[in-house]
Amino acid sequence: MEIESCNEIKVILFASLEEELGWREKIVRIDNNLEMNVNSIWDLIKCKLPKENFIVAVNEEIADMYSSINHGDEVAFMPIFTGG
Amino acid sequence: MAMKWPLCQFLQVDNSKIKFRISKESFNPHHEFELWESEKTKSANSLFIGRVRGVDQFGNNLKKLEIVHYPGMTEKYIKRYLTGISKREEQLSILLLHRVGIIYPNEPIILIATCANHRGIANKYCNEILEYTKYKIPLWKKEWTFKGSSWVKENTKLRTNL
Repeated sequence: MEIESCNEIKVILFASLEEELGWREKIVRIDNNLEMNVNSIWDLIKCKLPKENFIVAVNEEIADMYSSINHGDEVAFMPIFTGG
Repeated sequence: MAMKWPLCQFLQVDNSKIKFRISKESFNPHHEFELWESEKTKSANSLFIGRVRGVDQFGNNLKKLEIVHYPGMTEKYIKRYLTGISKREEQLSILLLHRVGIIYPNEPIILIATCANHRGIANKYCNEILEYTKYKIPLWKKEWTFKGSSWVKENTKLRTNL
């Protein structure tokens, strides 16, 4: 019954953020009654770093903390890009 | 013994006008460029090769560089960006090769080549593509020295408007 009332979101961390929190990816569950946006996921992962310093993607598309999410989505939190 | 470099298999888009690859293997940028350029008939080529520096962001001797990326999103954003350029500049051909994984000092990180009828377009997009890969593609560098490691916090200042 508990599973049926929750939305499952895949969360992925990259680079320094992955090291800071000590995990790469996990499935988080949000109660159907709670607001479903990126910010609520950020609160759930309990990161103490300022969220303004990170880039977020939903299903591999750049998003922001107010972007809405749905059951089965993939949310990635990423430091500033440093490729090239 | 001379090192043998594998020629890279590229993802080709828009009837071969765009070729790119995110590569875990080292590559010889000169071989890759020569092979690509030999197929082109335009007169103006622009080329950029980026290599790993011998020092880290703090001036310490660098042991190796590690580059990680977001598989799937990286390719999606590169493909979308390069396809957009190709639609604006029909005569332009683009080659982009970017390393991920462990890379040692002086090894190539990135190869960008552009081919067009005139130098202005070739130079412009060679530079613009480089800046895009630095600021808009989910890639991260970690520098390993003989004392430890640290993530590169940010690239040098943006040199163009993207």
